Amino acid sequence: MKMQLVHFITLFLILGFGIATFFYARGNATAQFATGVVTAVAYVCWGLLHHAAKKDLHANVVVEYVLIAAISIIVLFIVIRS
Amino acid sequence: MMDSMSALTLVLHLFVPHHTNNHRPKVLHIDALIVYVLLFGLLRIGTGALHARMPDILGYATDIYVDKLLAATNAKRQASGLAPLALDGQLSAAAVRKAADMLGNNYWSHTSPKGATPWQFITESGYTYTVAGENLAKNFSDSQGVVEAWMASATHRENILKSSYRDVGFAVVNGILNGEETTLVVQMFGSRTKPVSLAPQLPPVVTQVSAQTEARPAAVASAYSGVTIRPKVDITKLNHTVVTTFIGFLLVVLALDAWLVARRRIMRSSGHNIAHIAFFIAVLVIIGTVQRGSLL
Repeated sequence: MKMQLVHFITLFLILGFGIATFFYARGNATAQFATGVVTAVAYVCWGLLHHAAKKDLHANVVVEYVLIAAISIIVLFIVIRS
Repeated sequence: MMDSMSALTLVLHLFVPHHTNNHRPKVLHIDALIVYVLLFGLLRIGTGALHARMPDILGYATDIYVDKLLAATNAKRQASGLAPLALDGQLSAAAVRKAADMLGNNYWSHTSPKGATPWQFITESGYTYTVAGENLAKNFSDSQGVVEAWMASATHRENILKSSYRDVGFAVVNGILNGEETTLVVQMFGSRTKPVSLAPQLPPVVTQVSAQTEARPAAVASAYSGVTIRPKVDITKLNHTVVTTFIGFLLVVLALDAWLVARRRIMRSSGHNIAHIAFFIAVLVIIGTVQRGSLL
């Protein structure tokens, strides 16, 4: 339970840092997109480590996190480039 | 009766953990996620192609005018207790030349690939300055948005609120930059050298410009005084609506799935719903802060 708490605090820190950096980079679309990509990659890493620690890291879980990140990146690309 | 039963089964299959979908809503399965990635790729390519063929139907709504930029800039100065800036024809001519140079030489920078700096454009327009500066913006949808974005950036804000500036010039021009339709806004600041003064010229605080040809300042400036584009469908709004609706849909399905899995104590191998929900909420927040346009 304590491990879960630490994991989720870490996740919220990653996401909070990503949002703050994105906001700081407003006016610079390239920097904002790069921030989004880095945050998405960090999320995938978090997911893999989280499930590895829980000992339930399977191939379908890896693919799921990668696809969730891919969706967020393409969605962000569409919004930023429009 | 059979039809309603099969419809219900289909809904359960798509949106609710059920024995027919291995206790994971079908819309959250790997193959569904792949389809979403492909569909968004198609959306991007499709809107780009339609925009290229029918810009009047599907395009980027733009409404930027020099008089509104001037009013918004002076409103910010007056709110800070500063004197308003006067619109100067020579600075506007310099801004026009800068914008034309960026489009003609395909660059987005304060200094041209040939090394031309902003104060060169200003000097070549006939404006003799003691202090000068430049703000650039591209692809904003309205005049107020441009000024608000400049004010949110420390270096651009510094230019707008510099007490030593007396004059300002603008150019608003639409063209193709790096292969994309682009609306450029160039704002140039300055304070004239007094005719009798022997004070040396000081370098501009923020610089950029490059001048090319001789032009009649007033005539050229008036041709670059604003851009209005009103397509039937605004790509920016369309994309925002599609994206936020889609993420909202995923959030609802993920939340429902998380609740039912916890309630039914279902054991399965999949990603963590709460983490996905937190991640997509962060994506929504980020998308909500995205403004069309870039500064330099």
